[in-house]
Amino acid sequence: MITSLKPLMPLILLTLVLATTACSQLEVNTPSSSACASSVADSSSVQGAKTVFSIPVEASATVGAMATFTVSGLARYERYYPITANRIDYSGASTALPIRRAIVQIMNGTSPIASGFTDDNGNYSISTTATAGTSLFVRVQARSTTTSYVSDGIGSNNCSGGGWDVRVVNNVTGNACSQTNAELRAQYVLDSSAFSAPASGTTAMPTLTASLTYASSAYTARAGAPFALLDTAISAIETVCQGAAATTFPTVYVNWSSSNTNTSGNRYDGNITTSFFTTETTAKIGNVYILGKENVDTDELDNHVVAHEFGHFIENKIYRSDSIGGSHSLGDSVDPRLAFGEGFGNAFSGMVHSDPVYIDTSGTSQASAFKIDVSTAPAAIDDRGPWSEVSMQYLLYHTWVQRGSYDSIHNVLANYQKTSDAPTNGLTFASYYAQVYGVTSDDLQNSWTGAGIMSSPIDALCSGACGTTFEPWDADNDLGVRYDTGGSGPRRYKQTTGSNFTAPFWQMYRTLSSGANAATAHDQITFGGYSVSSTNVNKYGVHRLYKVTATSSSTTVAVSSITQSGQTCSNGDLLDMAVYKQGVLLGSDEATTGSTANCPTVTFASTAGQIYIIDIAGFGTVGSYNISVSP
Amino acid sequence: MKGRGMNIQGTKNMWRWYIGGGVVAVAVVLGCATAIDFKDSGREAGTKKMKRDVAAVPGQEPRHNGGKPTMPVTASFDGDSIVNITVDSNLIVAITADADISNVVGIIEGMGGLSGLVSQPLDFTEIAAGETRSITVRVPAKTGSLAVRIEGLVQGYSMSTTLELKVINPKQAASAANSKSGEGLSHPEAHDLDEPPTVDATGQRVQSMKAREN
Repeated sequence: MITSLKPLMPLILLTLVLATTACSQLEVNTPSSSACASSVADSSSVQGAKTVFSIPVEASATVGAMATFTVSGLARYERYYPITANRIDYSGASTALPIRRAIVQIMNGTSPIASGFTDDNGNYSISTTATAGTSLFVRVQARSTTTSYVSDGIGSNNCSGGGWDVRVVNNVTGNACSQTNAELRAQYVLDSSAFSAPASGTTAMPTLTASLTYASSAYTARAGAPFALLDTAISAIETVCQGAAATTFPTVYVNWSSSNTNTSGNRYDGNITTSFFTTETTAKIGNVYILGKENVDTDELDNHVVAHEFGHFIENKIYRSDSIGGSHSLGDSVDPRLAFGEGFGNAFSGMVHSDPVYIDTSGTSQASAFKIDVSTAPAAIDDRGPWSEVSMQYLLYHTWVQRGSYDSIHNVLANYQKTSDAPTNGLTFASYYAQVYGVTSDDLQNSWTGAGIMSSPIDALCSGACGTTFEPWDADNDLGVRYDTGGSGPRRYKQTTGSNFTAPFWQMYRTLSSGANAATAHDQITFGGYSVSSTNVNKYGVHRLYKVTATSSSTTVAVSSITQSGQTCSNGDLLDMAVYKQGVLLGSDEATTGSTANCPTVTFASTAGQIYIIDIAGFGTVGSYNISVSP
Repeated sequence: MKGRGMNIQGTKNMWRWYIGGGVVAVAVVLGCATAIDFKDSGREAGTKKMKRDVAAVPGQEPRHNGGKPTMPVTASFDGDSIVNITVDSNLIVAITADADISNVVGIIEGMGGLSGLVSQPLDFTEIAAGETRSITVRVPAKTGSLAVRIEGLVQGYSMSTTLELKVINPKQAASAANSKSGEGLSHPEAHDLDEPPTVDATGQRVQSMKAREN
């Protein structure tokens, strides 16, 4: 097979180059699938790690006898660290660390003739065969892939038998097609200088270092950056493996460029807005994007930021995330689904690095920053609850500390919250954790109820008063009763100013019945003290959640009327509706005109007795609305 | 929803302001800082801009995260982050808060071709949710960036951010196009990332960086 491909290799390469060149000439921002189809097709044959190693083409002229020999050496990368003084610390020399579990190739020109991996000390030893005297070099990829990892006994060894494929690539291609075809993004690699193939024995390579140097207020080398990203990814994988050693992670691209900046626009031009995680293409391939623009915002060394985004990848692919997304800030009162996801990201970063202080640097010389100590309970009473990412990060991180392991958190997220009928949020997590491990385990009860912590009623984790069974619905609205006026004081929305809403407003879910459901205080849209803007549609009070238990094979949920000045069902567009089953969208009504523009209606296939979640989203203040369920 | 910071970034066509050749009758008015009111520009409720991008296809997952925690503030040239100029211009930078921010300090600095440009410090110490403040910056007709640097307290939490706004002089476009970033600004000293990508014999694209050896 390899031999038969050899004569075709120039043609294959030419085809790839031509297809890519044609695509590069496109100037549209969003390429059509057909415009990039040829590139996708051409590159599909090289997807996956296996192919990388399966074409050991050796094409150079022979100058001597074939010889089998071993190439060994050490690969490492350099980095600086963010410090609590709120900057990247360039005051001393950079730190050299091993490049762990990365692909190492012995290259003959453009052809890999052998490959292996670095161990957790950064060492590699690869046996290969080549003609003595052939000019070769070593290539270390900022990529780690395996289908069944075998621990090397060095460092952290939680993973065993699982697999992953982490690729650190350059997303700045100037090629619109790369937006939908990650194979068009270049894999970062570190290349050695050339050496001659020996006649036998072992070639000991000099230590290969991916440099990161900073002098005279500027980077003079940044090759270490992609490997710093890879290293955090390996640490994150090891953290998850503490919960399940043989976890199989799907492919994830870590997209980084020194041009990645916080302007919005095309990602392939570096305009990524912020560091974030997303999925791409219909295959929903995981993609982390990381800022890299010097003197604006670089995140490759902000290892907690990287772990936070990798945490979103884990949450999305290994667990489940129902987060609605959107910008978020510390102290925000946000949708509980978002709060849990972001709190998890922050807490996970602390677990990955065994360091609770998240530091995000930016600015001139990366000398500005803010920090988040995820081991610190929320300071303000109004920041205590499932709508606060600060509360969620504390709950998760503190549980991890008390447990001394990630195993229980992994178990709850992977095996209980993932399949829950309830959306992913703090109430869901805590109730399942209590059910599986006991409410007093790992200080859960104290974290949930503590006056200086979340200050929330434990009965919220149960149906009625807590006994031995915990569940995520809080049907009797213990949360709302507490947050209205009881306990350690009412919560306001948002934060220390604003209204003191009544108990129904704070209820996580209102249970809808068949027929008409007259408006309650739950059924309103308010932005609280936030501005009514697109940025704030992820704040608490803008998405209202409902629980419906179907009675038939088809169910219709409708907003039957709206009460807001100047608004009727067809005059305005303030409400949308989405229906979910275990986090999967079943249907939505986002009509902007017509009879349902303000009174969205969704009919969905259902199973009698099954639970569905209705999300009514507002785009402006709505005083109240009525809901009907049929049948 | 096409708000800032969504996890799936918008792919809208980035139309850009063009100011040049004496054409001044556009929204970013030369030498007239108060001619444009940026407050709440395009941010009213109930419009298409407020739509949430819930998955259109049944069964498709919704968007699921908002990226890293950010200071709730944006900076723009009337809603856009890129402006084209061909003559020296007074550009109005609009700074909008999405939540209350107190103890605000900040400055705008030039980068790249605009290095050396430094604005007056921001003349306000508080900015309320939804409020927009503007500052006028005299910008030479060069390609570069403005770095809007802001620090402040957000609901008791100290936060900071730097927001980049790009300034492009199309007359310099040819030279800029030869740079890796399209601007030639991002890493003037770190040339180890400058190698053009190549394709290895397996078809894999690679961005080669030279190792330091010892």
